[in-house]
Amino acid sequence: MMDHKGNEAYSFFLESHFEGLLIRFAVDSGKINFLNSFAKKIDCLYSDSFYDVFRVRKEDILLYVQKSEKSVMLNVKNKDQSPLSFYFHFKIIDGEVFAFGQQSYEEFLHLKEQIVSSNSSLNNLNRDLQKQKIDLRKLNELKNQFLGIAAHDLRNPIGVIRGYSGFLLDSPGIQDNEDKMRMIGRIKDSADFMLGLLDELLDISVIEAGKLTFDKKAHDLFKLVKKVAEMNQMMAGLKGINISIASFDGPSIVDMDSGRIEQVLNNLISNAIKFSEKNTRIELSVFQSGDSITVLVKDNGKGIPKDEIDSLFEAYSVTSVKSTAGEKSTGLGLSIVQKIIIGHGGRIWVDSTVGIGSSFYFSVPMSKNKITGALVELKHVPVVERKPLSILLIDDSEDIHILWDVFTKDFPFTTQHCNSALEAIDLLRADTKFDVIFVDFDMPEMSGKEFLKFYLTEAQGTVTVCALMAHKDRNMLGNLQELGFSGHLDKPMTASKVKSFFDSFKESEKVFMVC
Amino acid sequence: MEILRYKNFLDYLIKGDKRGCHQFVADYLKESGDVKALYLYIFQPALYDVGHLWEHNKISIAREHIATSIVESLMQLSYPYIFENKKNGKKVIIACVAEEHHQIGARMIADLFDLAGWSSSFVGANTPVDVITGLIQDEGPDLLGLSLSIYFNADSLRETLNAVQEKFPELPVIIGGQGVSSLGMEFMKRFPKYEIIQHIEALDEITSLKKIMGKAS
Repeated sequence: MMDHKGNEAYSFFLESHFEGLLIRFAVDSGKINFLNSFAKKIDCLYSDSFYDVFRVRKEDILLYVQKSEKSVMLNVKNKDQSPLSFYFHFKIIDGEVFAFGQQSYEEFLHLKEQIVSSNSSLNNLNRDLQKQKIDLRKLNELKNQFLGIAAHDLRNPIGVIRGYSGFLLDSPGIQDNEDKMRMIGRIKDSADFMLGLLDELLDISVIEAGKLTFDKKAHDLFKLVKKVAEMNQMMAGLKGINISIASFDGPSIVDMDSGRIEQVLNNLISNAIKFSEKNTRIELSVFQSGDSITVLVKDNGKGIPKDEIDSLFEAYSVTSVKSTAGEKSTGLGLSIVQKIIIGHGGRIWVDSTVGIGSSFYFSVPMSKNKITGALVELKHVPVVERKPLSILLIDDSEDIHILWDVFTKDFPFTTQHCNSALEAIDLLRADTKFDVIFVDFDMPEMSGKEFLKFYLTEAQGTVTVCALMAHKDRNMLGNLQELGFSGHLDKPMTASKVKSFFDSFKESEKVFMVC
Repeated sequence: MEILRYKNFLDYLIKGDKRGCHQFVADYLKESGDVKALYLYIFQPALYDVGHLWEHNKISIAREHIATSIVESLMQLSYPYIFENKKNGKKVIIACVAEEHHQIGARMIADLFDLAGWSSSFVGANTPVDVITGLIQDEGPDLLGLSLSIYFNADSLRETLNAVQEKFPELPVIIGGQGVSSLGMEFMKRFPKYEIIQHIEALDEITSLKKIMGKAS
């Protein structure tokens, strides 16, 4: 029997917000007769039976009562499914079980320490990761910068090797000496490969630096496919491969950087040639799919193993498939191609079966401008007989002047050479007249841009001025017209580029074309 | 005005309002970009005030832990400022001695070194002696910084200093943290080349390389 003080203390305990459980329940049925205020906060305890709530049997409780000096852990899930653990002591008084439950202070402390320590470790790890991430980004920028510089500086001398070897191959009498022809041919092929590789490295460095820009204009994609197919037909012909094109009837007008899409097509078609056996076919199709124009390049080549397809568009990934005539691959082309297509809001994908062939598809959105096919129809310009052109060529590289003379020796024009813009200005001041001026974009003392500014303002010149551009200046392409240039010629200069430039020049007085 | 701003931050922190704190710090750094001021005039006093409130039974230990945890996560917002800095080629290792679980002050010091152009390796709380000496061996730092927040852990500090002094006698060491003010002269007599840093000005001299530790001293 409790005395008065005991009763008061017991009542205080029951009514206080002391965070321990006191539950009274019937021994036989487990029926809960009383919950203290803390127990009432645990909603799952509003149940008929203690045994049901804690999933224990009457026999267990009787055993626990006997071992009253040791607490018993019982787990329960609250109605919000949060798990709780209580350590109970049991006592039987007058047919009722008094269950006193509490949470473990030691466990709480341990839990707290673990959480604080894990949180700190995560924060420290995150600090390290952030630091490394920034370090890696800086290193990557440095790598791209280095790559860009190295590739750019290598490009000019290799361009010179390529130019001279091409010239030597065309020299009279070379066909009589097979050994020499083969060796020079190898020099030219190697220089071509190196130039391609350097261009791809430069592209990758521009892409990775996030500086890839597109000069998009409405063009007919089918016409471009046809042009690139024709350019590749010679290479295909060497392996007896025939390229065919099929197209739907409608116009395939796309807002695109035609130079970049040409690069995509060149890559896909030359890959198809590389991996096709002799005397097979490559089929090109251009068709409309929804609001997009899709181009398919299908070969009957070796095909790509399924497990290699996922990494096909990653930079520096090379498949296990070998080209059929030992042609080389850089592992960069498809990665660049993918970036270009994504940059045009399109997508690229591939279906391939080993032994049967590969189908590369890319689709780009149709132009939203309501341009009809008529606008891009070739203008039939009447052929006008022209007097021989007079050309001014301004470049600080002696090689460019030599190659120019080699490539244009059969062309109907005369060329005046200047090694600097200042020298050219002296000539212009002396009132010498020219039909076309070619000026190197990047020169010491006075750049091509500065020269043009002078020419247009002070000299009030009116003739066509074209820029000679190195690869690194490609990002200026979009601004050339704004600056006042009428066209540009890409370096390294080749006979076909010069010829192609002047073929277009015949059609229009003011040209703006990509060579 | 600055005090009002500070009080706003402290309110967010005591309430455990992580989003409010985050916004405050993001705005603060956007306006001033001054990570050092953020650490010294916002974070440090706020953490001291939170500790003070706990000591006076105004907030529970859970709230104190939540506040510390929020400040630790807020420090991440300063990373773009501290890690982008131009490096001076100097390396520092910052660690809390064994059994020392309070790491936030040491982390701030590591960040301040990075901010000044050093490259810091922050090892964190409760770092055993062999881990510290192993790291010194691997990284070859120009300086070691040890943190002692609670004087109770002075034995761990002594043990670490003994090991470092024996294995790397040329390596300069600085010691900081709230626990160092209770270290007596006797304690430091054993380590005449090592230096206790009690003020930010003293740290500034080291991070800014005005004072070259281990040579000019």
